[in-house]
Amino acid sequence: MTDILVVNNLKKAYQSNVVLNDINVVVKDQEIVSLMGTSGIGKSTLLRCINKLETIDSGEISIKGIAITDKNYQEQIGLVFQNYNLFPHLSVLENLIQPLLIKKIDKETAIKKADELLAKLNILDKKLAYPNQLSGGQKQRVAICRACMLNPKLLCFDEPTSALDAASIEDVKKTIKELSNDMAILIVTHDENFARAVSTRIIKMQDANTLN
Amino acid sequence: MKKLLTALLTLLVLSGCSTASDEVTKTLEDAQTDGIIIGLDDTFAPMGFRDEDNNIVGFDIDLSQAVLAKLDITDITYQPIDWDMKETELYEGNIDCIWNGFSITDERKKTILFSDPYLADSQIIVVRSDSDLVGLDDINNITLAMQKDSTASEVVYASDVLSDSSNELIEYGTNIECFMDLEAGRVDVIVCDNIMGRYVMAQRGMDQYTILDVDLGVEDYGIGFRQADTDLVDSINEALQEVKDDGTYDEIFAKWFGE
Amino acid sequence: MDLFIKLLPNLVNGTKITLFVFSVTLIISYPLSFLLTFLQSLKNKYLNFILKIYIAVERGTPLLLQLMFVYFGLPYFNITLDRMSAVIVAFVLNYTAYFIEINRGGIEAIDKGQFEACKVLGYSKIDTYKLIVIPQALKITLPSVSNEVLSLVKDTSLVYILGVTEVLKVGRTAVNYYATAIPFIYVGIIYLVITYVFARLLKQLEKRLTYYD
Repeated sequence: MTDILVVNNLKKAYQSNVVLNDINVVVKDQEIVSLMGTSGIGKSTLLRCINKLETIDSGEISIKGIAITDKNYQEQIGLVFQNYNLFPHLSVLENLIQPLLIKKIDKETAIKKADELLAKLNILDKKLAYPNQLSGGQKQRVAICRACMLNPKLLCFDEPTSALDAASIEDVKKTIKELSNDMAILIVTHDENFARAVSTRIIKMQDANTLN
Repeated sequence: MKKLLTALLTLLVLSGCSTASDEVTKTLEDAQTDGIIIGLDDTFAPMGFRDEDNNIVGFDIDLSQAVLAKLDITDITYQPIDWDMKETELYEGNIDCIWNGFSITDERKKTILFSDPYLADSQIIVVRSDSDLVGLDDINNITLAMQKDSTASEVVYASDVLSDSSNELIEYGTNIECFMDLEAGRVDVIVCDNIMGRYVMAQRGMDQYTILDVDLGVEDYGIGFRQADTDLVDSINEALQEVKDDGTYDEIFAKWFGE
Repeated sequence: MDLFIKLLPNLVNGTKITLFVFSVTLIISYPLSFLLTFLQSLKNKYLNFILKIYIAVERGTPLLLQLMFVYFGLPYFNITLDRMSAVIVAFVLNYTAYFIEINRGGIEAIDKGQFEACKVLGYSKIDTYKLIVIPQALKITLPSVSNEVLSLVKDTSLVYILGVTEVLKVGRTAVNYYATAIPFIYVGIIYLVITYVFARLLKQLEKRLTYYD
């Protein structure tokens, strides 16, 4: 199976505090990798670095060979935030198609893709609703759709179970397994049960280094 | 603050540190070809103000028309300005003269070149017609109202009797407010200039008031020009005299001040 | 009542000027403020320094003084404007500065996650501001903006200093002409009507924006 995410010798420090010290990680296609570790150990930082939300001090990150410095990198990766960060002033549909419209993709194509994903995640009936009208689980499904609109090769989740009830957690597990047919998945979580149930591989972080 | 800025700007102009074009000036010839801009506060009845049809009318308007006609100056613009900014407007060339019941004082002569006087204005003391006050000796232990920063207020402060500590002095922005207070009984005495005062009293009903027989001095109205415009002022003075001599002046006077 | 009818034509003309200054200022300064707020976000040191000084001057000096400076002071720098242009320039400079500060506050109130979502979805800085940030900031800042709008209605009375006749000056002229203070009551009523209308409009706008609360 092909390597999707390749992280080499990643170093990141906040002033004198070294958070990530020579991290190496590989995630292959169709893998579901959970990144675990105690609070504050740097797993969120690692996720943020991969998603270009933080700058790195040294090291290489690439997705399917496309380096993080390349302008096409952002399209390869999708992120489902812990608090979803849906755009509150836009409807569900608008939340989904806007990222495509700004890339000059025509509206019809965008709506088609949105409908596809909404159906897949079982939330097509909420197409015209606004985020404030959705439950936590529903918001997450919309967030997942939005992250998938640009066909990312790697889909990241930041603490996907923290705000969900048991039923919704089951839904997410199913969804992630389905999605892994088409992409690699990287999850940051502290929920061991969830990680065991859904992952193909678990990485534990200790100190500033990873341990497989 | 307005005064501060005006003083500052006037100082800048007079100290010649203007980086704008050369000092602004207008000769008679300039006025005949390019026209003249007369600056006025268009709220100042009866000298120069807007009537109900929004036309600028007044004693000064009619007089200026007559005087300038004698000089073949036909392009006349009446430019409304804020009275506090008049010197600044004049020196920046936005207007060419100030013609609006402008009192000639020594203080003003320092920066303004005045024409010959064209109207004498005195200060009067007004009381309610039912008042016991008759002369200056009666004016103690009373409340007196006057317009702020006017010749009337100067006269009051210069007079020992009027500004005696037993009197309460109140300054208002306009003469109207003084008269309203007099009628309401909140003040006993008003000091104001004759022309403005009579205009207000005529509007509100002369029978409510009595003008005391007290001479507080006379002040003349003149037309204010930039100090460099001596040529223009000389011509204006000549024309002014002609207008007085041929009876036009008396006609205009009668129109606005009766008698 | 008789007096009111006599004054009506002039009051209408004065009100037209009041509304003209009000609307031109608003139409230019509010959008302009968003442009400058966006430029501010680019964190260019030099630009932000200039903006900082500009905003401090505009908010730290009276609008009346600014009017006087633009009309009477600029000729010394070889910039001579006619009266109405000076009015508009001074008003726009002043109100844009206030709006920039208000916008900034509104943008800071927006959850950082919104910016991060944009980054991750590949939004350009301009798109981020145009599509996500400004629409949300508009809603958050509407109460403050409403205050400024109502202030603007009343600030238009300051144009008298440049000899421009708006409705309050019309009132003053009438007071002197008819030697009665009643015209001030009419002017007061006109201001109340104008501010009431705009206050209502803004309230409606606020209501319409709560659809996604």
